[in-house]
Amino acid sequence: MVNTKLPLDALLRRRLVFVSGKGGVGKTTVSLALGLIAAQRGKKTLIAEINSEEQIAHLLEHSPIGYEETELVAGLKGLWGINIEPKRSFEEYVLLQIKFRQLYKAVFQNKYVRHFIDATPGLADLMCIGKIYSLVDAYDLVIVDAPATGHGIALLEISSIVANAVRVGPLRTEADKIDQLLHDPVRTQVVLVTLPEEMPVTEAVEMNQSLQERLKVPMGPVFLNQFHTDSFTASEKKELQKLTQKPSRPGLSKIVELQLTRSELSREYLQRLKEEIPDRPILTVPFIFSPHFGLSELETMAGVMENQGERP
Amino acid sequence: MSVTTGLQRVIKDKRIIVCSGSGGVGKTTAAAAIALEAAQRGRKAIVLTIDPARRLATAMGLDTLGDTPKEIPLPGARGRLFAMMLDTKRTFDRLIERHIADPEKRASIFNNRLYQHMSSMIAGSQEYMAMEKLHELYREGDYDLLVLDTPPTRHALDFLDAPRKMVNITGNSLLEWFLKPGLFTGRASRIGLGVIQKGAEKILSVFDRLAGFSFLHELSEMLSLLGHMMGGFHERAQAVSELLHENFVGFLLVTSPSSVAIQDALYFYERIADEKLPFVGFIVNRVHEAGRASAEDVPQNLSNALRLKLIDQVRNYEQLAQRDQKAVSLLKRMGGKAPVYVTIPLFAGDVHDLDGLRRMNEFLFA
Repeated sequence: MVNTKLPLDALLRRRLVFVSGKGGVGKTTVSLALGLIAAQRGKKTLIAEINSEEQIAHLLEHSPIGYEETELVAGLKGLWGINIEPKRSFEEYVLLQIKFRQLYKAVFQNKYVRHFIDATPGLADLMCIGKIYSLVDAYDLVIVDAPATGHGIALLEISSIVANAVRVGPLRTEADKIDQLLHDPVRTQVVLVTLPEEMPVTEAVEMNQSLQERLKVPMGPVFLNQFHTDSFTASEKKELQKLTQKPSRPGLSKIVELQLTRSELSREYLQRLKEEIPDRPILTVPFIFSPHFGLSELETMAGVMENQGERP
Repeated sequence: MSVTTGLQRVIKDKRIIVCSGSGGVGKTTAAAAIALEAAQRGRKAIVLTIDPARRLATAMGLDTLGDTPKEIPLPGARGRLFAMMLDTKRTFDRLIERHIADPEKRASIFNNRLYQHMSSMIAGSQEYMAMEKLHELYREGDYDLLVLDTPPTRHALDFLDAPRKMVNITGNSLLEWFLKPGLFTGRASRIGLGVIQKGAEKILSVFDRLAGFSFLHELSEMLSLLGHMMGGFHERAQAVSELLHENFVGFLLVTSPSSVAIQDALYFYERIADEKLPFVGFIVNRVHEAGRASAEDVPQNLSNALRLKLIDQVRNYEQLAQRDQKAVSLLKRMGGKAPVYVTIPLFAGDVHDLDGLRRMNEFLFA
């Protein structure tokens, strides 16, 4: 028997968790739910967004978080957030290396240098991942709400590319250290979020493959978000079939049909994930029925995620 | 005769429709449905899509084909429907093939990891490639209507910045300066820079301390190669941009009622407005419709457990209907007076064939 509680415990014992997946699958909500669970367990936890439009602030009805680490929830100690801007990270990194702000200004406020830096692909990613690296020591757990698919992979890959391309110097030293952290299964896990729909599942399977085979980063569980549990027994379903055939209540029939299809699709795609990503635990995250999605819905979500494995 | 309104007018009057929006909102499906309707009404339409869901691709005959237009037979339709998959990565590789004649050099470029990373990461390049293809098809003039499905990211409109960014690479005098032969090989050659002011020396020494000259040299060679490859880029980018501003183009924003998707749609809306692109409206997909049923609709003669479950489901549904209604009114409030506001209800399953697209069109063209 598979104990599904273990994967979550194992995940939260890391120092760095990358939450990745296709756009629109709920990476931010899953990151936050994991953050809530970790903080409630007494871990000082940081949730890092990358150059985002302040999604976390929006969800929590918080003022914009920005580049300074900020406590996210009043009354809940230990849950912090940051929105990492590559430009700020770059400045921070260079200042750390050359130590003189005057020199920094002289060099990096030069128009041509700015253009060169803007035009250098991968530099922004390297600076973001470098910033994340520098934050890991100050927290028990850093959860990165990573950019969608391709860009998320680029973020995990840039340090090894630089380590290969640069022979010596501080940039190389930095890249090596980051790369070691990203490939250390004791400290790091990458998790995928997906939905019980065709495209997100296909993309999760493909992404799992490139992360595992090409990037060789340590993988954690897959979260199947917005999962609809089947709430009807077999005999109830028979009763329902009769009901949906009656044209007298078309509205009700539609709602029932919708719910049945959704729970069936949830089950189908869970099965497909289990088959196509057989070596990873698949954890389901419930669909939350609510006219509003905020902190209390996140807490409900976190509660279900935590208790998922507590079966006899 | 019915009056042509909303989207009916759009598919009749426009020659290019661009569908934008965040991922997972049904953008590809909406683009395909619009092209289908235009074909049904007598136009020769083509839908250009980036990455369709597998089953929809199969239904449209795109699963086996590369990036060439493919006709989808529509018995009884007055017009014709074509579909084409845009493989933006291949377009990029082809650009290299076109510009680098030496096969050995080409191979070394394709195999260079730094290059691979760079080519996929140049902001907006993939999006730009899609636009360039659109422009090419438009110029060839084989179709009455082109419907483009843009990539599912917030970066989807970055192609608008691509010309500016590329100019930064190609017209970068720092780069030229970096590329002076022998600059990176040692101190001796730097003496040759005597004409350049002291500040430049300083810049070089900072770069050296950070990354080392050999890496910088490699990097600038890569950038120069890209610059070379992008020859004529600025002119083409200009032409694409001009095309997109024509009044026979229409930008549609597709969204779902989830708050994240609505935020994204409003962000796109702002970008479109800032760039003064011809905007035609919003499509809100997957909407839970209010007032479908109430607890009283649940029959009395069912077992108690089932009745309670059903009442629960009706309530759950109503909650989502409320949420969706709020989202749509937020969009209407923030999105100004767009000519088109269409909502499509949430269907029970995925839309993955022509019948599914037709069902969507009952709402899109109601």
